[in-house]
Amino acid sequence: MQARKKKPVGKLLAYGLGSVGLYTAVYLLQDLMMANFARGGVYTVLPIATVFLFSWVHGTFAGTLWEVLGIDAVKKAPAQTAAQAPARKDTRPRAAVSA
Amino acid sequence: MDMINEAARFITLDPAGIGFLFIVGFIGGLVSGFIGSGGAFVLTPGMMSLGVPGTVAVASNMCHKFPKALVGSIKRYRYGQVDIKLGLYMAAFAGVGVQVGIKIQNHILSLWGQAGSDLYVSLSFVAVLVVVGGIVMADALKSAKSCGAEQTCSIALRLQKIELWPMVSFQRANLRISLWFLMPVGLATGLLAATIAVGGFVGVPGMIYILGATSLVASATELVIAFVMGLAGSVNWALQGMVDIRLTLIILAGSLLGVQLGAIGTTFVREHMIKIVMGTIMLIVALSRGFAMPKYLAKLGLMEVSDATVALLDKISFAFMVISLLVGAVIILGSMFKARRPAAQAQEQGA
Repeated sequence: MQARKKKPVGKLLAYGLGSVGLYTAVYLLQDLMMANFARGGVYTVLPIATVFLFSWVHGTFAGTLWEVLGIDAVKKAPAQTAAQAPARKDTRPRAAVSA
Repeated sequence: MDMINEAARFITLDPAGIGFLFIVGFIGGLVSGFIGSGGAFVLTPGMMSLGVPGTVAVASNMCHKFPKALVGSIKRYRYGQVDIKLGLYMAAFAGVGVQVGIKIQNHILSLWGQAGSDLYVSLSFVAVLVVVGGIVMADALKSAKSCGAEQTCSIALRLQKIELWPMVSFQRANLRISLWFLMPVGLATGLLAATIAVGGFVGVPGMIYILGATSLVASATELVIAFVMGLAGSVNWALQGMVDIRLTLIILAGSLLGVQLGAIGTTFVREHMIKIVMGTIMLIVALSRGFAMPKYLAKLGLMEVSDATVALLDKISFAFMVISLLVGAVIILGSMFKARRPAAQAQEQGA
């Protein structure tokens, strides 16, 4: 019998805690963030880096959550076109050198 | 600029507002993960209805769009659906298209003022969405009836046969086409993105019907385009200090859950479902923008409409936008549920 895939509960908890921690930090530090994140100029890096950090931590949590809930991809077929036009032959006359 | 004035642009958030943004973020993410785009158009008017100024709403929306597209495209790349090269080529031309779109917008604004510009946006919305949405829907219904595998469009096959230098090959999308045919699709995607903020409504059908990609590859590759363009746009808005990071992160909380569910959904359902969802959303959104037009016609003095009627039509217009997203989400979840049962049974029998 095929063994059932083990669900990544540990990973879910780790990234879940990370995500909760990040959102709690935003809630607690919102005044500080609002004062600095919208200054423009070099401060642009702050909102951009923050969304990348959240996409990694919260994104991994979200992906793992669906996996633990048993919602996962059912097929990983290569998605390719059914038909493709063949490359047309080059019928132009060629210069030939006869030695 | 004074920091206190800066902060005054940003609203106080209540639990109802947070809940609204989270839910719309989730549903928008679900739709984007499935059809590649189109999930974010409700968020800008939605945030504005909470009292967020227009530019901050656009900036905060865009800043959530690119990380969502990044997470969605990584997920779909793992399923073998993303053609990164095609996405980068399209994004490069779309970038040029955005600049052209902004120039056209500014020209119209200088000629006919804000009402003229709004009318132009609404007319473009209705015209593009009715025509392209109609084509996508008709094709999806044809595919649903035939129950067969997705066929490459005959126009795309003809264009692929034309050997016009320089030819470009895309391995994952399994197509080879002249750059001269790819360029207008990319430009149109950018042009539409600058005009109605949803370039994917032209980008995805363009990749399917002009370039010859499958709807799976086209919708997944659109996420790469959305990432590149969204990142550039977000940096631009953040440089001007317009991003309300709290709004962005709340929407992101919901949309990162939704986008991955949508991406998983593409592996469950038959390919024509992507076209069905896209066509349905586009046609309902076109209807929504149709309701917004009398307001702009009245402002230009071309029509007489009372203020009460304009207010009512605005509400109906927004309601149809929300309905389009909800209908899309219901079709996606319903088709996933339907496709999941036989798949689960087959897995159990195989085990």
